[in-house]
Amino acid sequence: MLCEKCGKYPATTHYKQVINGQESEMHLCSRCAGEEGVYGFEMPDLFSAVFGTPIAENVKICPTCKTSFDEIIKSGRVGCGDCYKYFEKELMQSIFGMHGHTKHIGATPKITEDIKKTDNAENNQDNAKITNLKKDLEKAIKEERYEDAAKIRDKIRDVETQE
Amino acid sequence: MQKYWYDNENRIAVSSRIRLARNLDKTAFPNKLNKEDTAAICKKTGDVLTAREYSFGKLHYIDMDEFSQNVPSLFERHIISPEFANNYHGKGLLLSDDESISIMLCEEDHIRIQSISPGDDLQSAYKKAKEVDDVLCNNIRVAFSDELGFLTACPSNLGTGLRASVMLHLPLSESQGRIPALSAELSKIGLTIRGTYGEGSKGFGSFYQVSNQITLGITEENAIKNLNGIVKQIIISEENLRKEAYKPVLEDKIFRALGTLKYARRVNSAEMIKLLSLIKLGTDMGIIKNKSKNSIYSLIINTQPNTLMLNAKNNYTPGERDILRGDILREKLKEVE
Repeated sequence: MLCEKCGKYPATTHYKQVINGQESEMHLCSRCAGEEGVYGFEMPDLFSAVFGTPIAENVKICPTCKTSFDEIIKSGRVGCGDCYKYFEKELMQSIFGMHGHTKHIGATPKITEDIKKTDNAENNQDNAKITNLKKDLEKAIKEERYEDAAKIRDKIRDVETQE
Repeated sequence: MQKYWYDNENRIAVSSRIRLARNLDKTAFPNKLNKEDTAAICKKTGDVLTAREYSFGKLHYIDMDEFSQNVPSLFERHIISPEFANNYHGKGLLLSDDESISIMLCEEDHIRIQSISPGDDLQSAYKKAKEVDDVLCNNIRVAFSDELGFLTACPSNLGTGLRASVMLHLPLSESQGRIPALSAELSKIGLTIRGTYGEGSKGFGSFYQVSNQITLGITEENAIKNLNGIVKQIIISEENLRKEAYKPVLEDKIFRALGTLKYARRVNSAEMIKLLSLIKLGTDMGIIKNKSKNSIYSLIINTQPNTLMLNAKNNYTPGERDILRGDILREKLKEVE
């Protein structure tokens, strides 16, 4: 059998895909299979159907990772752990749809002394960062550099929301 | 001397696998990270996990960019996922000497712990994965909420982040047309079955993977117990079909497969898997004897296109590969009668 795409070389890669009972098959040579993505074809946005369709009002953006709800719908993936808190209302229904549950009952990680130590160290680092930024902010306002001041204010907010 | 999980022949249940998905707290998930952050996370988790000795030995850090030649073979040996094989730049992999534990760093989640045990043995696979997970969670704060459990990039992994799967060799169940009905039954109880080689409902070589789908609202132990119970039933049903099968037809198929591979000069991968699957069925049923040191399944692993080239330390065209594969199989099957 020759490759379905280029028709030049023998088909060495055979794919069968079944979506909602609809079968599709492809037979490609190794070169064309490589061009199509060596190990498989891109799956369509299966999760879009689960999460709902993108609408214009979905402009909410997760403050931690800057992912919009539209992006989540399109990729089927959230941007960070905080997305689950921030988009809780929007995501809960589909989470229930996937698992039939909304409450975790499995293992819980222990918060060990080692973790507390690193947490404290990181907090101290952040506090030092904020103190420095606040100094910069005061200076910028004094010198009437308002554009810089706005930028510094955003930076402070970023560090604070990361905590 | 057994080094890898596939060195011993395991009838019907070929291997058991556990995968745990974990992420660092307060950190964007890998698809949102730039190069520097990805490198930093690989280093941070790599340092923590390579720093100690486990029951299975040490974990070694592999810089994927330096290892790029081996990537397709790692995929063929089930060490990395297809997604990771397609997008490995700037990422890291942790691997144990016997390749039974592999940890992909910054795949879809920051940390994907994968543990594999030969045969039908999810418990021991879980024990090893848990060992690594404990070290991780005791040293690094992971993304976790009391409500949703371990937080993962895809909501389908929320909760335990645990995917358990058993690879089953089901030639008789397949030839009797039992797979679609089994698949429908499994989906009702939150389990799924798919072909190991090739996608879709019917796999190459009758190798199938049965795994859990639901990870939220179920404990790790129950998820494993449920899967175990079902797997045992599938195994019993395959055993019964093997006992009831009309021997002359089955024996004819098996000996034809053996005859072909003992003399063929060119064998492509699809034919290799199909025929070795029949030969495995023959040895498992005692119809033919394997007096060599290699398991039949190890031949499937080692004659996949990229693993074949890696072992031969050379690049070949598909045509040349088929000739080499024919040579290797003729040699390895000399002691199978």
